[in-house]
Amino acid sequence: MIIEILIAFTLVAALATFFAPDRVSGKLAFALSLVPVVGSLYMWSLFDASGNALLQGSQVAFETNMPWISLGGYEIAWHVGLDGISLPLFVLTTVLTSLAIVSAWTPIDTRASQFYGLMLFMEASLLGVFSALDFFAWFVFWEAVLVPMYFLIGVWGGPRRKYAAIKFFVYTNVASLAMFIGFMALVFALGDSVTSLGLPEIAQATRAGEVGSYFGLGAGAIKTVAFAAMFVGFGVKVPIAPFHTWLPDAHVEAPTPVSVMLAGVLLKMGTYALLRFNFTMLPDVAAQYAIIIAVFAVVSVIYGAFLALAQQDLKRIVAYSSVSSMGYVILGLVAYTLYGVGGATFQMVAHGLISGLMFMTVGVIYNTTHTRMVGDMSGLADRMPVTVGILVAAAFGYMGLPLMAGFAAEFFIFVGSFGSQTLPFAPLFTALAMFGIVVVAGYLLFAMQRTLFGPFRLETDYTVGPAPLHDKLPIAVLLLLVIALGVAPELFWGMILDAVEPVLETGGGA
Amino acid sequence: MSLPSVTATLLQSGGALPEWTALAPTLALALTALALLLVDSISPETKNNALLAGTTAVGSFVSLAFSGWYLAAGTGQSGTGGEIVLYGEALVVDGMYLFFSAIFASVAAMVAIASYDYLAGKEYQGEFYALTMLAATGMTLMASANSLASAFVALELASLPSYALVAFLKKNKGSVEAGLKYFLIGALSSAIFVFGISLVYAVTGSLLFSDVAEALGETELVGVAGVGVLMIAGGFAFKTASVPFHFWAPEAYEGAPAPISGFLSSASKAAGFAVAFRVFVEAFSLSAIPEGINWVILFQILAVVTMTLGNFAAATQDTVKRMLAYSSIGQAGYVLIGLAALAGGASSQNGDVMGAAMAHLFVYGFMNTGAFLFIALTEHWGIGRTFEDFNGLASKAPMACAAMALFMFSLAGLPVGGGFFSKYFLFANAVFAGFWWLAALGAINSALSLFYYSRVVKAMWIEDATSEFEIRSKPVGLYAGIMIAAVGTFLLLPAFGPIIETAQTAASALFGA
Amino acid sequence: MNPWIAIGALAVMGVGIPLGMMAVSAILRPSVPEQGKSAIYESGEIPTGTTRIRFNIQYYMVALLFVIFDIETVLIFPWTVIYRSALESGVGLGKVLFPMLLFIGILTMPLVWAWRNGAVEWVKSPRATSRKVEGES
Repeated sequence: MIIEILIAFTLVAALATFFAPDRVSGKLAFALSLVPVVGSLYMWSLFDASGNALLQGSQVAFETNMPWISLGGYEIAWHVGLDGISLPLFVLTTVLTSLAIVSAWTPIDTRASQFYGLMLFMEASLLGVFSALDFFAWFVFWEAVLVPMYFLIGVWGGPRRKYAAIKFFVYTNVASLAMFIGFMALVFALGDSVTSLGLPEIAQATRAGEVGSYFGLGAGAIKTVAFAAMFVGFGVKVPIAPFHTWLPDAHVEAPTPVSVMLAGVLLKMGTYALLRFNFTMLPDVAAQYAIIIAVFAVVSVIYGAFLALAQQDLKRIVAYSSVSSMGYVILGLVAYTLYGVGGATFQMVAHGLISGLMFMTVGVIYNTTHTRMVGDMSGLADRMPVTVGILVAAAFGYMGLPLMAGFAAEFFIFVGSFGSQTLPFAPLFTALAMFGIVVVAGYLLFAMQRTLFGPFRLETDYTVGPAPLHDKLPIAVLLLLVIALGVAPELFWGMILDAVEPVLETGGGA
Repeated sequence: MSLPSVTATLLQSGGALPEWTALAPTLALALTALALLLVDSISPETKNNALLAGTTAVGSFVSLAFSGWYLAAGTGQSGTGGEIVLYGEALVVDGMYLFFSAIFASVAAMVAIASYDYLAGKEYQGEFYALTMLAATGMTLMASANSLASAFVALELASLPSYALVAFLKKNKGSVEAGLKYFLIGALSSAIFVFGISLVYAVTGSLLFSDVAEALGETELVGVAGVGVLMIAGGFAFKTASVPFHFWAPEAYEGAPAPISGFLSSASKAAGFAVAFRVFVEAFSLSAIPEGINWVILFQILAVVTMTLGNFAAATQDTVKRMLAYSSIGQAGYVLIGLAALAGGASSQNGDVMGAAMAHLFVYGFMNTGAFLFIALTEHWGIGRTFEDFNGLASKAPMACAAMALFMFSLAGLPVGGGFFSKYFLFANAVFAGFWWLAALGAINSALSLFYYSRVVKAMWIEDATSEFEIRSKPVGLYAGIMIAAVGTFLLLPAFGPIIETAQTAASALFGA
Repeated sequence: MNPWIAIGALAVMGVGIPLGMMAVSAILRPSVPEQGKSAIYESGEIPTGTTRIRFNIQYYMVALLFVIFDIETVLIFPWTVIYRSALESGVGLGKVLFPMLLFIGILTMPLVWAWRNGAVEWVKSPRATSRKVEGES
């Protein structure tokens, strides 16, 4: 029940905040958002699930399964629950939303109550996405995330906000449609072997080889089509190059807290869904087309990194480097080894925290300097030492400095992908992806050096001093979390491995 | 329904209530209309708007309560002995009647509450509410008609007050013009409808649906019967604002008082579908009708043309109200799938797809009425009609604009309201019935509709205000109506299960499954 | 012999006699066209204005109200015919009398409403009133 209570509470909190007076709404939203944080941490402490929520012989934590609607021959249930893959993302969502709300106190000065209301509404939808175990329930939340995001970019964004909001909306909607069609084709091809749209039942049926022919296509063709449609659908969300073009626009135009949520959690929806749908349900297709997927992954890593190198806008740099980081996740998934898939899951959380940290810190700097252009400023370290210190630490985290979460995640992924059995030329792909790290280190160090150090210079007419405490606090907390997860990956690693293992068991060439 | 069968046996079929009480949803509305006339007779000079609106709302809620109670108790449904036939088989009470009555009553209630502010200071308030109730009475009778004669009388009872209501703003040229156009096209289509009835009568020798179906199976006058069926379909096309009798709709919806536009585009449309469903399934049943008369193809063409034309026309409009009018034509096209995706024989898919269409009408009743009530609110404030006039409205009236955004996204099929499920279920059931191409066309149209629905949202929330709004007051009644619609639309998302189950059970009963 | 022949003959006679009479008189009479002959005959009154005038809308109101009585009569008449025999054959008063009272009641309701709202009051248009006042002064 606790999942429903948290989602319902967040929805009510969203409504209450939406109509609250602007003055108090920021503090109110933060206070209300602490409830899901506490709730999710409590769930983390109680967590006792084993195995993967979609596969047989598993025990799902905090599960609720009750009939909801029947659609023709298919039962739709309200089925939620968490396993080792979704719980870390669940916790990530609650924590990051709370911190993002605090980081919004400075930059958001118009229509604040609506802003915080939409943030909480988005949190409720995201919690639903990560906990739903029924396709329709999941799809409701998946689509519902778009609505607040559209407004958050469109109303509080930068100069080109309308364009960015529409572009985001159209891209993700078309992607959802492709995914929906692909998934439904798969369900119809399963014929009578499934009687519900529950993800566990469908996953078990597809893995048991129940996929038949449908619409004049054989089982293999249907699986390939479904895989491709879902891969494109989720790939837009991740985003995988070449479906990434909405991302820089959305990030640059979105206000800082929204960028934090976008990079920190919304992108993980795509990789989470890829793992849940494509790689759990159709592992054989994934193995068959492993090379193509790996090429997508490596292209994302390297192309994203080089695009970041060419940017002048700090936010664009972080945005493109997200494309690069998410490429690692895809690589880990397609490696299809315990460490690969586990590392990919770990990277989702780690990158959620680190990219959130990066965006937030850049946001704090922007709040004082009102520019994000690398060429417009230098020597900030003297004026705002704490913020700059955190930014440097975050950048090192991004480069994969040991004892930071990013290092652990990337290390796991590379270990996993190096030893992949299903992916041909795995060492080559791994090496290429590792090259991406070098580029990342290059552009981050370059940008740091130009903006933070040297003599102080600023092209805009603002006085630069230390950032206010409520700006620094969330980034400090995030940095601590990043370090904590780097020092003790075991906080999540054990449960992730436990949940990933069943995915691989019959996988490969089943 | 899951309520204990003890309750069921207590009602009409068990003898605790006389049989005629099964018509209570209709009677409540009719009595409300008479009561309104009485109130207006006692004091014709004073304008007691609150009393009139209150009476109307209470009457609608009583009717709604009866429908809900009967639906829960199983009145007229297979659980308690099947449909209740009344008055020489002229009327029938079954799940479908109760389901549609619930739609009409809830829409009428919202319209009545919202009209409290809309009519403030206007003349002829008593007439307005009485006509609304009479039209609602006619609509419930349309849903219960069991013979072509009662169907026609009920249709006229619903139509005649509607003509007057559209032309209600008699000093406003647009309103009067709309009323006249509506009346002329209505008269024409009524004539066609009644001519069709006479042809069918000539062939079958009966007006009762069951007798018509029986006689049609053995007739040799296939040509005459076919023309009759076609003409009757034309009559329904008028009432549901489907192509080719849709021309009145944009004019009437734009010219009429906005609450009436909502009433007509939600309830009146649903009423047209209610009687069309019953006539075509029971009287022109696919299993009995001669080979030559294949009305399913007719409705397939109508569905495709209606949804495409409605959506494309809506996308090119400049004024919000007209956009809503065309979009409601498009929505009629989706609902027509309920008649277009049918197959001969006793297939359980038939009931499912028609039930999904009914459920869509139910959800549509809330979200579309809500959208028109929002327009009424902007008219009340004196805000212009075009999309640009709405720019930045959300900063002044966030609550109403949030509700409007909910309606728009729900109409477009995003999962913030019941429209998401009703649309997906309609298309999914069409696929299950084997009409994937209808579903595909519907999905494409639906994707297009997101474009123009989101234009409203974008104007209200994202665009900056181009002019200053003078929002003098926040009218309680209009806000209440909009909020009821918004809460209803939202709650129908989690609570869609009972709706679709009830609708599909009711529709399946129609197919004798 | 076909009995329809008689009917045909009657029809021919019926059309033929008036036509024949008109034709004969047209041939015999002298033709003197004169204004008085083509003028409208209004029972001795001198006609004023054209026939294409607008009637006061209140004529229609009265006509509509008449429909109430019309319908009432049409349905009450057969009811009165069977009323006594129905009672004698043991049908209760509730089933014989009550529905008709309800029906009349429903019809009366709008009549009262229309009356109260001034449908039968012969309101004069402002123009007519002003003309009348001018005539008196």
